[in-house]
Amino acid sequence: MISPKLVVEASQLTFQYKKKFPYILNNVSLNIHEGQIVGIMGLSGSGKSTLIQILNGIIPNRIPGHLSGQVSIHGQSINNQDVDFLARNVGTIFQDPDCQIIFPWAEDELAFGPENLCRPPTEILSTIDQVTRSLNIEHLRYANPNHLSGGQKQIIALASVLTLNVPFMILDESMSQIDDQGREYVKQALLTLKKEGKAILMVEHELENLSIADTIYWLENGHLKKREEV
Amino acid sequence: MTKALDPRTKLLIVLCLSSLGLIITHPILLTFVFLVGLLISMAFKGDFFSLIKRFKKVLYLFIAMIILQSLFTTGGEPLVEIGSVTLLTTLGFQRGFGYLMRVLIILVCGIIVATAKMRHMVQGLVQLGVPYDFAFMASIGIKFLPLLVEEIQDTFVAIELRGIDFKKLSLKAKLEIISYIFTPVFAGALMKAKKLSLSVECRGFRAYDQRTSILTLKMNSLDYLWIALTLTLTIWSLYLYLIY
Repeated sequence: MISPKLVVEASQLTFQYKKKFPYILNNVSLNIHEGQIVGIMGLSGSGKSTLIQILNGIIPNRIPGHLSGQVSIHGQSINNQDVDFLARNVGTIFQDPDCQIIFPWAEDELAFGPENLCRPPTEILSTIDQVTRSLNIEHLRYANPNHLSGGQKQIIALASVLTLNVPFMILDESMSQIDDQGREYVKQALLTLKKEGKAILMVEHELENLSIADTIYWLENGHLKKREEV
Repeated sequence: MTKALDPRTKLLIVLCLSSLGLIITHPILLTFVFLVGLLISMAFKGDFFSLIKRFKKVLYLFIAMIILQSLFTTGGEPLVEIGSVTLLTTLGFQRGFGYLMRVLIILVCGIIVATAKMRHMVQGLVQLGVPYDFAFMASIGIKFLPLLVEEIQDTFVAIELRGIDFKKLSLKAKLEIISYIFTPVFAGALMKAKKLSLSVECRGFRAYDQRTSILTLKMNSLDYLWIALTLTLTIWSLYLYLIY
């Protein structure tokens, strides 16, 4: 049996915002393979958001700090990469869909990323077709996201990242602001993406939201441990 | 029919109306410009009267400004006098009324712009040569306004839930509370803006100087008709105004 390809390799990540400040992450390593869903839990202030920002390149590109260690996607380091490379390789879905959704028409939202990357319009439209079909949201394509439920909005946010065809997706407490039905909706979508071979990282407060994760880690005092070891 | 107009046509109409509003000073002519704008906005199915209802409180402020402007303008024939003190003159009335008409022309222009879809308006600006960043920023500003209003309303509800009836407070106490909520409300808005900027950057915003678009606007014969009509009427009105 062929073992799934390694998509994300984060090794020995250590981070502090300033030299005299405490370490937010201390020697954190994490691997995520194709078709794998990894969950990370931790208390507020444990460094979950910092870890996400390192994995999607916001740190140190946008937020400065002292970072050591390496993050690679498909073997290519993301350190000092431009916006184009990061957008093609890492997709992030944030907690609040209202802070992600810009346009009053779902199709425009889905087209925003590929348009930024200068993909031809015909290709963008066929990608939107493909993504909406895959997530079973063809009926939402021409909807106004402001009139949708929290779960549906989060699916639109998810789809708007998927149209970039990224191999690695990060969900930053994306289920915290949606109801039970919405959570199930998002979970089903993530299982579809898992089947398609996406590497998925879910950061959550509630264990129940990580029921679809293959592996769950606990982040505490800057150290990452498998949940079974805690 | 008119809803299908290209947003660039609507922008031209707005440009002409607002230019006439700025150049013309005669109150009757300004009223005429406003009425033409009102008719155009109604033709585009814009709802002027519901907008007036929504901005009732702001309008009171404008009316107060108009009255003050009328009262403090001297010159012309006296209209209202108390003893030897002249309260309102013909010039004051003309200026106040002209100011009101200009405010109404701006509102009508806003309604005409609002009848175009935001995405179409952004694309229209881009096709006019405005850099996408600027056009995008304008659209984000429009999106953020209701969010900011919502944030302020939530804060006021939170204050009222703590047993403070805002309406019954004195003006001094109201101002004091507003000064307290100012920082958290704007800090919240800034946080939202930061999250949004990270979200768009994660989706490749500003990755390149150029970007593609699934939407391309094309003008049709109706657009050309509106453009010709607007330009002809504007130039003709300005000519007559400047000559006579």
